[in-house]
Amino acid sequence: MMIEIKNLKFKYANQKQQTLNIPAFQMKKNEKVFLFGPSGCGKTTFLEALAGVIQPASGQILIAGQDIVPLSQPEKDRVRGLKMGYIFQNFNLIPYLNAQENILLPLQLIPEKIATAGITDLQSDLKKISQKLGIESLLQKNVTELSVGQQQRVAAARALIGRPQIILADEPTSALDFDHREKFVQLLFEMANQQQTAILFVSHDRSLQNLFDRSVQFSEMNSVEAV
Amino acid sequence: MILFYLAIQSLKNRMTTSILTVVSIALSVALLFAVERTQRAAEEGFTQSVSQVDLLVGAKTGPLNLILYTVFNMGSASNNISWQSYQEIKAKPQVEWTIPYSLGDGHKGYRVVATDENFYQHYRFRGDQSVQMKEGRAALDIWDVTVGAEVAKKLNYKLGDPIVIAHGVTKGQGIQFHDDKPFKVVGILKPTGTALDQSIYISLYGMEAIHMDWKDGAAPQPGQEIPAQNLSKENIQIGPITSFFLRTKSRIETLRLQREINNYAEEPLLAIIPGATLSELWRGLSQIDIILKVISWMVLAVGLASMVSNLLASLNERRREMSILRSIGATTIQMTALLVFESTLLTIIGILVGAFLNLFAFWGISSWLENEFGFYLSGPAFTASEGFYAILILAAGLLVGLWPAWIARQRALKDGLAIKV
Repeated sequence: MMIEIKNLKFKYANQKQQTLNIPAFQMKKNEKVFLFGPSGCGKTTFLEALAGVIQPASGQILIAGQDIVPLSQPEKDRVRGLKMGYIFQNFNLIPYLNAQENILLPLQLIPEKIATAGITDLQSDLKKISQKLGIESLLQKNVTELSVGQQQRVAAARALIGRPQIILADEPTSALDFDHREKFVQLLFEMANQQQTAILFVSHDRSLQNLFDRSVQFSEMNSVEAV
Repeated sequence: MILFYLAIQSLKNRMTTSILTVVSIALSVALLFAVERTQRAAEEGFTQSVSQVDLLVGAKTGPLNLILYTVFNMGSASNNISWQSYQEIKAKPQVEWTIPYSLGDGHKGYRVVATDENFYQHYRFRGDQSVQMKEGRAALDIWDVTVGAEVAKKLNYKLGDPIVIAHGVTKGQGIQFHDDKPFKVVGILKPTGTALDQSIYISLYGMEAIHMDWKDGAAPQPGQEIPAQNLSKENIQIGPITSFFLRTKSRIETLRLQREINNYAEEPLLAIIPGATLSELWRGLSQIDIILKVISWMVLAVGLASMVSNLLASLNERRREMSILRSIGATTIQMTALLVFESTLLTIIGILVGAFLNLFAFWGISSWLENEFGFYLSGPAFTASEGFYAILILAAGLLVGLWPAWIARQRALKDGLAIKV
C-alpha cells in the first residue's frame, strides 16, 4: 500500500468541530486517485496531514508502510522530502529563483534524495521532464514572467524530478482554463506512470474525474458532522 | 550552500528594504566606530600631550596640579624651583636632558613659557612628534618670541611683530604690562594639536630680563627701571624656574631618580611620571565618552530593531514562500536557518559598509579636523575594540534574526501549508 489511514482524527486548536475524522482510506502504489468535495470541507487539511505538516490528534497514517504520526517533526519533514511531491493550486514557485532553480530546489535542500530516488544523470532527467512538459525553453526564465499554466507545469516538474512515490496535488488545475486542465493531468499521469508515482488529486471540479483510476467523495470518507 | 544562495536571492528580491536595513545598520556601526575612534584619538592626544619624558619636576604640590599648570596652561604654580637645585639635578649622571619651564606671565590671555633650546630640541608629543617651526627660528635671544600656532592665527601675528608681555596670565583690568621691554616675534610654531599651540615662548633670559628690576613681585619704582638696551645675556643671572621635564639615560633609573628628587633635601620638590598622571586625569574626564558610547549603542539598537521589523513585515509577504519550502521537504530548522542567514548577512554587510563609511569619512575630514580643531586622528583606524564590537553586533544581528525565524516556524507548524490570513 502507498497510503493507509486508520482512524485519523484532526481538529484545529481554534475550532470546536473536528476537521478530519477518517476511519479508513487506502491508496495502492502507482494508483491515481481523484478526491473531490466542496471547498472548505477539509481536503487540504487531509493532504497536509498526509504530508506531515500538521499533527493529527490520533490515528495512523502509513506512508509506504511507515506510520508517520508518531514521528518527530524533522522525521516527518524527511519522509515528505524523500517520498512526496506537492503541487498547490497556484503560486507554487519561489519568485526570486528561475524556473530551473525552482525545479531543482528539492534536490538541493535534500541532496540525498538524488541517491534515494536513483537518479544517475540529473541533467538528462531535467531535460527529459522539461521537454515532456514543454517548458524546456523557459528554464532560465524568471518565474514571474511565466503564465499560470507554465508555472503549474514547472511545479509539476519540481514534484516529479525527485521521483517521489506519491504526488499530492491540491487543486493544481483550478487556475487553468478547461483545455489546459485535461492536458496538464494527462501529462502528469504519463510521467508519473513512467516513474511509478502515485497521485492523490484533490479538486472540487469533477470534470476531470474520468481520467483517474478511482474517485472518492471526500464527505463519504470523512465522517464529521456537518457544521 | 543552497540556503545561503536562497537567502541572497531573497534579499535581492527585496532590494529596497534590504538596502534600507543595511544602511541603518551601517550608519549606526559607523557612528559607534567613529565615537570609539574619536575617543581613542582624544585620549591619545591628551595622554600624549607630552611624550618621551620620564619625569616632570616642580615644587611640592599635587601631581595633577603640576601636570595642569605645566602641560595644559591651567592654574598656577604654588612655588618655584631654585636655579641651583635645577642645576644639581640636571648634572646628575642618570639625566640625559631637561627642559626648564618658567611660567607666570601672559599675553592677551595666552600663557608665556620661558624655556631654552632643549624645548625645541627634545620636546615630544603623540609619540615621536617634535616641535617644529612653521616660520622663523626658536626664541633663544633675550627679546625673542616664538608663538604657538593658535596664538599666531587668532592674534594674526607675523614675524617681526612686537609683543608686550603682561605680568600674570589673566586678561582684564589692572594688569601690569612689561611695556618698557617689548619683544619681537622671531618664529611661529607648526600646529601640534596640543596645548603647545596656545602658548608664547621666550627664552629664560627674556623672562629674567623683564623681571630684573622688579622687587617682591611689584613693578619697579620710577627711576629704578633698568632700560632694555642695558641688558645683555652676559649680565643676566637666571633665577628660579617653575618646573622642568627630565629624560633619563635609561628607563630603569626613572623610579630611583623620582624617589631621589621627591626626597630632595635642599627644597621640597615633586617628581611625577607624566604618562601615568595624564592617564589618571583622562579617566576622570572620560565620563563624556561613556555617554557618547551609550548613545551610539542605542542608535545601533534602533538599527537592529529596524532590521527585525523589516524581517517581520516581510514574513507576511513570504508566507507563500515558506509554504512552498515546507512542501518540498524543508525542515523547520532549514527555514529558521534561512531567515537567520538573511539577518546575519544584512548585519555583516551593514558592519562592513559602516566600517568603510567610518574609514572614508575620517579620511575625508581628517585634515579639516586637524586645521580647525587641532584634533589629530593618530593611531590605527581599527583596533581590537572595533573587532570586539563587530562581533558583538554580529551576535546581536544573529540573535534578533532568530525572532522572525521563530515566528515563521510557529506559523508553519500551526498553519500547515495553506495560507490562513
